[in-house]
Amino acid sequence: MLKKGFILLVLVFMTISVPGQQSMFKALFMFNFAKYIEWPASSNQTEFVIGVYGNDEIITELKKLAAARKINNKSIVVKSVKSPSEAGNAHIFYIPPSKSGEIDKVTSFFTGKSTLIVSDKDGLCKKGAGINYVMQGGKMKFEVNKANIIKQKLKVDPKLISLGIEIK
Amino acid sequence: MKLRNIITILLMMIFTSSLLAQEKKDVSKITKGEVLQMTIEELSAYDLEEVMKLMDIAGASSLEELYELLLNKDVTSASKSEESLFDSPLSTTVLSSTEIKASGATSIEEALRLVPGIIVREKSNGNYDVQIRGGQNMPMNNMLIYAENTTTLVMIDGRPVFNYGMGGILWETMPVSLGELDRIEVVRGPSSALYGPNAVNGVINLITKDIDKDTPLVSANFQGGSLSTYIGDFSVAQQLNEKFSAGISGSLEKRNRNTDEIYAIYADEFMSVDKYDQLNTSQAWSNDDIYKMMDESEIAKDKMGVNAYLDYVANENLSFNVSGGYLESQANTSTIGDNPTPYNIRSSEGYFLNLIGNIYGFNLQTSLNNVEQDFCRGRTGWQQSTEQYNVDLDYLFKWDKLSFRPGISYQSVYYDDRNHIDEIGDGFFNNRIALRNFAVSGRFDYTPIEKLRLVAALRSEKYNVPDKWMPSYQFIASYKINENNLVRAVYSRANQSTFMINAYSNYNWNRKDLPGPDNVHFGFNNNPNMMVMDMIELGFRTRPSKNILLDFELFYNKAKDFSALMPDSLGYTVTDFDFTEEVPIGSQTLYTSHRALDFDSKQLGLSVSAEMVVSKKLQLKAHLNWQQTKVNNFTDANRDQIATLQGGELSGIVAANLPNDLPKILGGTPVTYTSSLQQGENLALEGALDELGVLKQIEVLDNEKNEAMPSFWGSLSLTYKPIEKLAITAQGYYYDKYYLYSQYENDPRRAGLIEAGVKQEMEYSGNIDSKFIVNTKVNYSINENIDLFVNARNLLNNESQEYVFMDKIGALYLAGFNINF
Repeated sequence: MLKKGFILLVLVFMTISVPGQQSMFKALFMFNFAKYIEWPASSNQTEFVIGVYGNDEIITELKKLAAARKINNKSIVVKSVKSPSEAGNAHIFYIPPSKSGEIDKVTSFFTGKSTLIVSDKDGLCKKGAGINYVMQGGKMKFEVNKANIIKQKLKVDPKLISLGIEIK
Repeated sequence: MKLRNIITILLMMIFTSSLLAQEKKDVSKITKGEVLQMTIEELSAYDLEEVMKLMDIAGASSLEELYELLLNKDVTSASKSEESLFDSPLSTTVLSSTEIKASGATSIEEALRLVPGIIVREKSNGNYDVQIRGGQNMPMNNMLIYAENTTTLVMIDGRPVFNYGMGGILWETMPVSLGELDRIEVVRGPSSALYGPNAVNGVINLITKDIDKDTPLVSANFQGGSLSTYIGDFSVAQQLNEKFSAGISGSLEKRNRNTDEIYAIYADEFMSVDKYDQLNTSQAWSNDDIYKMMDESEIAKDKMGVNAYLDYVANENLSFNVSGGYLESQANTSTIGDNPTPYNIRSSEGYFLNLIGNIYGFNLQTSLNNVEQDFCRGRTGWQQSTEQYNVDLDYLFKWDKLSFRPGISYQSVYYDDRNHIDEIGDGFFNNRIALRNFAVSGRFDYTPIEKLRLVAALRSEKYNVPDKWMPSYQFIASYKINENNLVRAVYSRANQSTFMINAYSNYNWNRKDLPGPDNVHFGFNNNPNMMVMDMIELGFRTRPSKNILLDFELFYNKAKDFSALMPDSLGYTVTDFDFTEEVPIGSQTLYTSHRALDFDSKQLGLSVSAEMVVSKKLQLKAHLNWQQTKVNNFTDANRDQIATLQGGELSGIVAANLPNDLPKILGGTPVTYTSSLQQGENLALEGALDELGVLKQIEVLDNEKNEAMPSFWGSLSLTYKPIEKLAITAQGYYYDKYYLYSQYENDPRRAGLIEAGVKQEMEYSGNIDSKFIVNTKVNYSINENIDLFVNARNLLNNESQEYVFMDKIGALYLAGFNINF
């Protein structure tokens, strides 16, 4: 009987899950990054597209934001994609930790496109991401790689760099 | 514009501005509670800088911090380099000081009940049997010493603290207490390739706290309660400047048993020392003086330790950590000898020094441990002056995808009993003796692609006894499917070293007035077996969501090259002949040594562990374990049975030869007859020996279960913080029934109690019932510096034996405090 009890408990462990507040702040950060980034004027899209690689809790948070806010007077559209090509026109493309291994695929797909690549794993600013979330001393922070942002034909406000951790 | 309209517009402006003000409060005035109430829509009104501040105020990352703290720990023992526990290539667990404190565990051993794969059974208040995965009681049906765990290497800050006398862990001699530990790291599975001999079933590394700017200057922990139990520690530590930090700590642990009676194996009864003394003499159990051995039978454990730490950081490439300490301990726990009572008081007194240096990429560790050890109070020959010296040096080469850590290690252990005996010959060794081993090792860690990691760790160890090189290794492949899933496979080999009693015994046990041989001689074996284990393990670690961590380990191991103290021969020296009784007069000596045993054991096991942060208020932690051990080609014979076999042959030899030799003997020249018969060698004796009931018991067993470890055990604990200041932890610990059979189980004297009608059946045996223990601690934090708590171990007072022939372990109720400032 006890054995069964233990096994049941493990099953319970697997099914309960609690969304973290961190996703909310990641989404808020992302929303704010857009204020410090300038996309080329040529883009005549009426929507501001945020692509998210795979499934991640951040999608729920971004969708809440999309319902309430606009970026640069454009309504926000959040796309969860299985491949970068499904969000070829994204202004921001987010790589959650689970997809970190595919950073090379993402950077090569968005080469020459005006897309801000935001990642979420130590070291990815050195592998092509423009902005990367990191945990330092138990706190969430973000790294900024100016060169990678400029490479994507975007302009970045120095204020953003000063708020984050600059990676060269 | 009409005045009314203007007023309306003004009112609207005031109203909307107040609304706006309400929507966007001044970040510097906002409270944590207010932030936590805000939705993402409200928070989006703030700019990035403000959002960052709000995140700090909310401690939005505090739950994340909990994930980090509980589910994303770092570990160093699995690779000798710091890495994420999730990425550890081996079966690894880290218990943090926070978890240990919350659990209410009163000792290091008890805290290990939180670790998957480890089973902890209490022998007497505060004294435990601790096993990683098992493999104990080899050979079965033998002396209790073979039920001790001799296959786990315990280290303190990387310094091995192993009992080289007879193998095993003398837990009471650990000079550190729980309060001084930063964490406990446990690696399961053969790890000799990293840590040398005796890391066969795994490694337990007790890591003391670093001293940094956040270290409290003064820290004191104390609890006291039932069974005259008092446990405390005290430390003063400070980072003196950028380069130096220093600390000193002391600990104390006193515990009584719940009785002063001791168990008498041949009477199957707990009894007073007085009664034991009478029966011991009248029934000739032993020639021990039980009053000397059990002068403090009511004391379970009494230990104190003092440690000092000094850290020096010259620069990032050069740092040293020096620690030293003194300890005194006494424990009334199960014997490692062969007494008619399983109780045995061990005591020790000694000091250690440990130096860890990081010198321009080289890692140096050197230590000495100098302990006066009495393995059995009141018995001559068991007192030893022990010294242990260790030096380890390695260097980590790191390239893009490959790292390589070559290393060398040297260890020497000395035992010297000459100062503890009246004359040479009274001691166990009668000498200063040494076990030395030297090793070269290399560990390759290769990551050809980001997800795949291949590790090969190789070590070759040269021993002085036996004089040979022994290899050990680990081959590991781990594949990180993604951030949240990792699979791994391990193939590894590890071995025991030999121990002093195997390699150097030179002891004569005078059994005057006792039944059986007049003397038992314990001889040395300069080519002893060293047990070797091979293991295959498959592991899967997963984070189904970020607040849950699950870890699965499936392992299969095979161990061989066992040895045990067994009779070589039985000698009978005849000096005279009694013509009235018609019997020869002389003395019998049984010669024993650590003989190689030709059986092997196979174990299949599974551990599952789960940790979960349900919310900031509730955390769960659980593990469950299953294992099955079988032995093959096992000759089920203990020392006494083989000696009886030899006695049978000897009586035939004497009967055949004595008539011819009698004139010589009567002329004053003694003649010695010897049987060195081993089981299975001479079946012609079968008929004669059947009467003695010996051969019937000596069988060669295949596929025989060794059930000295429960097949199933596990733990579930939860910590609940209904309010910030209050924490309640409850743990349920369960183990299944098990059968730890020793040579005493079917001893003729126990069987005689039933035959004589004194007992219907044995009251105490190696059949140990399953047990469920509930532990609870309620902690109230008065402020950041002071905690008060009540702590109940075995709250429901489920009073039963946890270990063969030892105390019935019931409840222990304590109250105490922690102070840090």
